[in-house]
Amino acid sequence: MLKLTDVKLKYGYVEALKGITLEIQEGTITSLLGANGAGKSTTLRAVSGLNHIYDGEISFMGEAIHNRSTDYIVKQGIIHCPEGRKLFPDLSVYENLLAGAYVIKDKERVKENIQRVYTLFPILSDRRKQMAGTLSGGEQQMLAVGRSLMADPKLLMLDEPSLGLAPIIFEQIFDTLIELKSAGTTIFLVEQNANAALHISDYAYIIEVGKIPLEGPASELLKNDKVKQKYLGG
Amino acid sequence: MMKKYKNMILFAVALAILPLLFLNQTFLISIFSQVLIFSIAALGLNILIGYAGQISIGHAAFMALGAYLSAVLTKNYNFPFLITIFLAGGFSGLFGLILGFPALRLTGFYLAIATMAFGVAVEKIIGASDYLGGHTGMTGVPNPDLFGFNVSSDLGKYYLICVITVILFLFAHNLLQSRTGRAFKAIRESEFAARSSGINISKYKLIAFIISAVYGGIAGALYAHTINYIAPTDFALGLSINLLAMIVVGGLASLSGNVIGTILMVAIPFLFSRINLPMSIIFGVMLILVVLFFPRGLSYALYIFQWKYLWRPYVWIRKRLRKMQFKEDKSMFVKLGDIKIHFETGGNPTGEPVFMVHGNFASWRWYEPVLKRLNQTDYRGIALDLPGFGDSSHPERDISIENYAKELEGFINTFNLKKINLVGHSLGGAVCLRYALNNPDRINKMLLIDPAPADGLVTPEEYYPVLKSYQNNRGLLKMALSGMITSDDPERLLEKLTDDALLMDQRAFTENARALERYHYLDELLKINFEVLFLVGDKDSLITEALLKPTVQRIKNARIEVLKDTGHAVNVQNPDQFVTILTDFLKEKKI
Amino acid sequence: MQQLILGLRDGSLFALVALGLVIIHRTTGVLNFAYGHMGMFAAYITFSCYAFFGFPLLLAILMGLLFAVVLGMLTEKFLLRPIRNLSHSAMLIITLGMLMTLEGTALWIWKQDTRQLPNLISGKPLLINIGEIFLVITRQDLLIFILTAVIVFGTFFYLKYTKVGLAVRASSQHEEAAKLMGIPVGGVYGFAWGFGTALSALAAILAAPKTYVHPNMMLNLQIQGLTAAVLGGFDSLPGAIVGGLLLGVIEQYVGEWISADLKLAVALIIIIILLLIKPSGILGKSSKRRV
Repeated sequence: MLKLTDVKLKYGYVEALKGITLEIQEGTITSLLGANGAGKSTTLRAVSGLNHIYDGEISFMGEAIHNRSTDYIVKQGIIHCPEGRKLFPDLSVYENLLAGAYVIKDKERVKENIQRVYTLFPILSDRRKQMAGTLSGGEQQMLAVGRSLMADPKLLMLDEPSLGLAPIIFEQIFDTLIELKSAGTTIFLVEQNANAALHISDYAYIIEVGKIPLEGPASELLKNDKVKQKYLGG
Repeated sequence: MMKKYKNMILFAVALAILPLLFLNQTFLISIFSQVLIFSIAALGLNILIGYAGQISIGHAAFMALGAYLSAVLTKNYNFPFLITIFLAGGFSGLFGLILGFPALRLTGFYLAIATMAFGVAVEKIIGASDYLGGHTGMTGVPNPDLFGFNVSSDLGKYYLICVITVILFLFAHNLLQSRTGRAFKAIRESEFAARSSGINISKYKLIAFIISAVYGGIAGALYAHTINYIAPTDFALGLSINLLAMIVVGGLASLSGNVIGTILMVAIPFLFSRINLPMSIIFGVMLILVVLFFPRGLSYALYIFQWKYLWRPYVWIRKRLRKMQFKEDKSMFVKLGDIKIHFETGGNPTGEPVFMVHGNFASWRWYEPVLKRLNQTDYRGIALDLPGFGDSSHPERDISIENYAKELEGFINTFNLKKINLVGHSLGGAVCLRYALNNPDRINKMLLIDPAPADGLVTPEEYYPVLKSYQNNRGLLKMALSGMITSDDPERLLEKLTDDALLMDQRAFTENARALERYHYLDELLKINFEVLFLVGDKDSLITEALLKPTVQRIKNARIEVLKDTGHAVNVQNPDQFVTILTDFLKEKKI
Repeated sequence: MQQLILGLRDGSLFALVALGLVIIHRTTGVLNFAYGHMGMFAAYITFSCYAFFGFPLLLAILMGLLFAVVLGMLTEKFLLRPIRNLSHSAMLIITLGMLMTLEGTALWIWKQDTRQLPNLISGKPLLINIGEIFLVITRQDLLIFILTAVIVFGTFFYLKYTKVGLAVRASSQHEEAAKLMGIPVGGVYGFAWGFGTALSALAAILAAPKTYVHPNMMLNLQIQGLTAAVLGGFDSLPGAIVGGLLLGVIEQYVGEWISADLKLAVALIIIIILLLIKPSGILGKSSKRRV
């Protein structure tokens, strides 16, 4: 569904991605794992168009999308739930969700989606009129994930959704991801918590210093010695 | 000491001569005076904006304050001119201090608004004062009165202003090189970082405001006495914006840019005086174009232009000349298939062979001083130009250490020797290592001068554009190489080395650095049984003892010697010392 | 009471100017120093259409507004967007360049002596007495009140309750997140600039009968609008309105009781004092918190 071929990206003079090749199959959960600064977030940013690549190709369902505007990419169905949440601090919970549904024209669908998010994260429903800037860390993360669901994504990309969350909550989120997968959404998950990620993924890539040294079915990587040593805590 | 001020002196001399060319057009001379006056004000603003990173759109107010104070003091109270200039500067400086305090708490556009409000307020208040002539201004401002001389001619005024300008520029130049100047730059780059390094931000910001105000005040006073008439509208918001435009267009944080910007802004109206086009259009458009396309100002753009387009033809011509000088039939070559490898020899023709391999941006000539000194020894030195360097041919193959080593091997084989000695410098050191690992039984002893270590040498990405620019910028290349030569250069060796460097395969300018990143021989070093001597200069910033440690440790019979007060290339820097070390090393018997 | 009315009328114009400045600043982060001049140029266009080409007044005004919208959008797209990432000062300097260019161009096209020419660019110059207390409100002033009120409430309503309004608010709070929602942020910026510039044009056109149409007509108004915005805490829309009205009333009383000449000086002094003491203004919040 999503294909990156030899993608290279620079921040100024610094090469952040030195030739990334990966593929996300439709209907799967694929993980991108790596340490801080390895290039995980950068990869997602390249896909969603927040940063431009200077070499290589990114294609979605056969169409080249690299270096196109972000709003075009979102309209194709690729939703990026960014690291650090990036909520709209002076909009209410409800308005944040509404913003997430910007590309949906059908008002009924928007209402349905909001209901779904409220059912999924009841606490958001309680706080629906509250300003997003005043929510707690965990609530903000839930709002961020909920917001990314609003646009009925075909490909949902999440950047460290577990960060700063209590284990119960991120289990909840991960369960949601599995549900989404069975409902047909393809998921591209970037995580530092490799263990949890690998357990729900079908396939995974390891990224180190801008390159991908290792990839494979998640079950295999769980057993891989190098992976265990570096990312699964021995 | 003179060298430091070379530019200043040229500038001063040019200023002195300039009016003599236009003696009969005194109105032009008065224009020159105005250029200098505004360049003083612009310099003050530049210190504040370009160097200290603050913003101000009320600078004209300082000129107004200085102008009016000096005018009133000389006209109504007969103060001597020089005194009033000082007082004008001081008075404005005081206001600079006053404005500086609130400015400490404001940044960005709040500061812009505040300074603008200040500028407009000063103008309005002066305009509302009848004592100062109100809106119509003050006429009859007396000419400068210098120790009894009444300076009334345009020429006289010009020279007076000239002297003051040069003094002020000198002062600014020194200030900016000093600790204060560095503090300014630190604050401009990042207040947060500056504060964490212990710089007292408030103090330096205030200093910047005061100095810029003083310069503005002096400029204003000079203006008053040159034109002999001042009005509030002379110092309106438009002037503040013009001053800002002058330094942005010329180039922020650049003294030469200052002058360029001022000249442009004063000269252009006179060039266009025939056409009825309001100057604000031209200035406005220039300002916009400069910010969009030459954000670092015209002076920087000119610098880049000269860099890119003037050096190129020069380099091309020099390369042609060099190639013509080289007489192929009189030089020695080895042919490996399609590749011609040039080499030179020295020393005792029947002596033990020592092959010498040069480094990046180099050629056989880096061993010329060494070869000359081998004459009284038992050794024969053979220094080659690796393929892609000097006068050897440029093969099509990929640039890698492996390929260089293979070609070296082919070269050495043509000499039909069972055992050889090997010397390698820098990149050549890596090539020798590879050759040694490929042919460990061929080598008697190996000496490596500041070599790239066995685990590769990484060049930061930011340097690659610089490396590329050496292709066409002889001046920059020469400067880079000059670090390796001693200060006395009897045979103009540096010039020849620079010319040789330019002969390198164009790809190699950047590919050599890439090749140095890509190899890793640490694990193979166990193969080496022969003696290896590593020489490292203690002043070499590229290759250090620590960097070579992993390499040295893995070779059985290796040792490292650190040379005092030596840089990256002792073979060029101190050939006598090197030859001694080399011959001693080769003579040593194993214990 | 009469003073109050006059003050509110002046204040309405300040509020309009402030509103436009704040909208532009909140969405794109640029303080548009050329704001007043853009409106001035639009007023000139209106004047030309009316006096030289004989358009009916309303149509001429429409042309002026349209021009302002286009000017605003083009400036944002071609002069400011390319250097957004450079720095805010660079964008500020470009607006200064625009200021100079617009002033020069206006001088060039319409010459200095336009000062004297047209009055009453708009306005129905009839006088009406209203109510038991004898107040004099010209129709023009009434128009100013009504228009301002309509625009202010319309803007608030639009921002709060429409999809585009949400997009604008989202973009001004977090540019990247807005992009990720599929909001065409560039278009939002162009829209903000177009709308803001149109407000400047409207203010210029409404003020023209009194200030006449000349290259520096908006200079004072811009300073006063700026003061109003700072009074209200620069990033607050309601603050801009309140600031404007407040300033208008203050100036009116100063003019009555002290001296008419010092009206502008009052504005300047207020700016300086405010910036010294409370840059966040009367209504503003102290600093941004990011999420």
